Amino acid sequence: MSFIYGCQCKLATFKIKEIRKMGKTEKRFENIIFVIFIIGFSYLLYVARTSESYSFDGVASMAFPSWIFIITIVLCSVGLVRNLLIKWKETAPQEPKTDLRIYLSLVFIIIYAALWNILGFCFSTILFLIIESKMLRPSCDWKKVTLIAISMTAFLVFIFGVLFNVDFPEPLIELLLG
Amino acid sequence: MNFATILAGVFSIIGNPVTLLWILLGTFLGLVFGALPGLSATMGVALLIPLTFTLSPVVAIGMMLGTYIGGIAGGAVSATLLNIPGTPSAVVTCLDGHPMAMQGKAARALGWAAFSSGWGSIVSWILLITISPFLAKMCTGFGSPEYAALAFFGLSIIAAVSGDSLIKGIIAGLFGVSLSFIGIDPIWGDLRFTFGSINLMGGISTVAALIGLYSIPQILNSCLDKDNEKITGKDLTIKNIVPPFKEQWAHKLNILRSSLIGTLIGIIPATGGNIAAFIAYDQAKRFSKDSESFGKGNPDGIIASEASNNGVCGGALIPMLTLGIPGDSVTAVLLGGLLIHGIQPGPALFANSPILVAGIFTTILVATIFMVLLQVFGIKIFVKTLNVPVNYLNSVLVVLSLIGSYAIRGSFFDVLLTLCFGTFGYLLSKAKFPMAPIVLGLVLGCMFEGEFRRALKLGGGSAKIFLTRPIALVFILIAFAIIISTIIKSKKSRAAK
Repeated sequence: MSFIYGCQCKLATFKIKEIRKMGKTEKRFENIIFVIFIIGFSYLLYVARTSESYSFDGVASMAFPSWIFIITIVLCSVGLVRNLLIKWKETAPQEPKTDLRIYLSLVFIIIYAALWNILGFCFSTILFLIIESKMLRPSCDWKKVTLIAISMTAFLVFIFGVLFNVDFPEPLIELLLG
Repeated sequence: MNFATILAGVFSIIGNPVTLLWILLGTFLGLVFGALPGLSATMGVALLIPLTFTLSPVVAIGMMLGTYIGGIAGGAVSATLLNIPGTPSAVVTCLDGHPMAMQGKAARALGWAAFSSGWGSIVSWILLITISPFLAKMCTGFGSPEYAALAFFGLSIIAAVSGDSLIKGIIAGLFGVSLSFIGIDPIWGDLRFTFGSINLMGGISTVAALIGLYSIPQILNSCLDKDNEKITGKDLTIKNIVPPFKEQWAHKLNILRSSLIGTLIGIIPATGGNIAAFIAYDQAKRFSKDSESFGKGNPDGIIASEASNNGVCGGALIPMLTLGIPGDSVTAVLLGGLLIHGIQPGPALFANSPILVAGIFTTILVATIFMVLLQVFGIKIFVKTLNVPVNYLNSVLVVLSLIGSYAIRGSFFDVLLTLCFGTFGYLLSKAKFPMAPIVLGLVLGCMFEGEFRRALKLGGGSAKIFLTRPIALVFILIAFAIIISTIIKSKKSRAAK
């Protein structure tokens, strides 16, 4: 009991003494990253410990990764506990909420990449350039945006596809041209 | 080689305007490839090889070497202006180049990058033409203990590139090392963490990871920026771009030290510009009287990174030309290009084709001069690209990034990897985790693990083998000194805050 009481006292002193500077958003995201790392590396450690590890002599194939995973889990746990215990002094100005357009951009990028194998590189690039440019600057003229998207795609296809023989996926064009 | 042979080789290059034009074109294309995010120098040389089929061997080599030198130097352009490294070796340039650009000194930052690259190339060129056989013999004698110690030394630099938080830097570095475990075990050959995917058997592509971690978060973070608010072209006069000779002279030690580090790292096979840049940056920070300003726009950071990564060019050519062993990934592609043109690098090359060797040496110098001139006069154009409205610029950067990750192996899986790293990288950037240690861990993790285990096997399971190898021991001692001094410095700065 006295040991637990001692620990509690120490933690309380630690809580008051340590005042660190950090923004609210940074702290929230830092905790998210620590949790992701702890869960992810714990799973990888489980995989490393349960899979067949070859070793005729010397260090087994899963030994080195296991050491690294354990160190990472310990460091992330220390970081997370420290974040929860330390009294943070929020000196950073109140950050505005992340704009929806940033998340939309990320979604568009993922959809764009997925469309490479459906519409092909050319069509998906034209579509992406139009939608992304228009979404970021709604005031842009449709005609201008479309013209820039088509000419930029043509330029990229000429440089990489024709000049440097990069074989882009073009299922739709191949289907249309037979 | 006698004097007449050397003269004949030199004049075969500088006396032929067509050859000079091809070198200029190669250097220009290299700069463009290096400057565009997602497209690297390796990719530039690989894609240009088919274009050189119809050219004579000397012209073809000139063009490829120009692309190599231009490509490595060009990486600084996007690293400085966009905070997206154009090539893996320009990762370190981001640390000080972009903050300097944000202070309105974009042109001067690019000027420092150009001239440091030039000095780095020239120092490594001098070593190439003078003591290349001796250096090649020394560095190719590296065994597993030396490689493991070198990788450990490289990993000890994580602290220097961690930014404000050491613990975040170490976690990021360990994440990078963990990524390097994916694929085939370097000793026993069994599959690790591939989860049944054929695509993961070859490991994580460094280029895909780099593009994902740097390009996508930067594009997302800057997509709401107002047009032209970051960098304007006010200071775009040659006077402002070119660092005065007095200033360059004041940084002579950093230039020389970084160039030598680059050359030596370049000679060691299977290393590269990124490792050299990390080591040179760390050393520059340690020797600087103003180490606190590193990461906030200190020109010494740009000088260290650029002089060392271009120093690697000449260094990597030393074992390639003298022994036929490529020093880094670009020279591996370059070696293939030389073989296609019927040139077999190795000791026999110096004996059988001295004019060709003298021609290659001249080409490197000519390409270096072209690279500096193209950069100085191209800075106006580079900086003005930032005046392109953000909505168009960001959209095109996304497309270029995905093309870059796809084109290197023609694999759609690499595009998916880029997206995964991009999404996770965005979260990491929000939590202010440094990206450089991840790249360092990914590049060095596999090398350290494989060589360390091999060294242990050589030593019969005992780590004493590291104490019996002088070079390995020196690397380990320096690494421990770096780690201890970093911890002390970190404690002191925390106490001061």
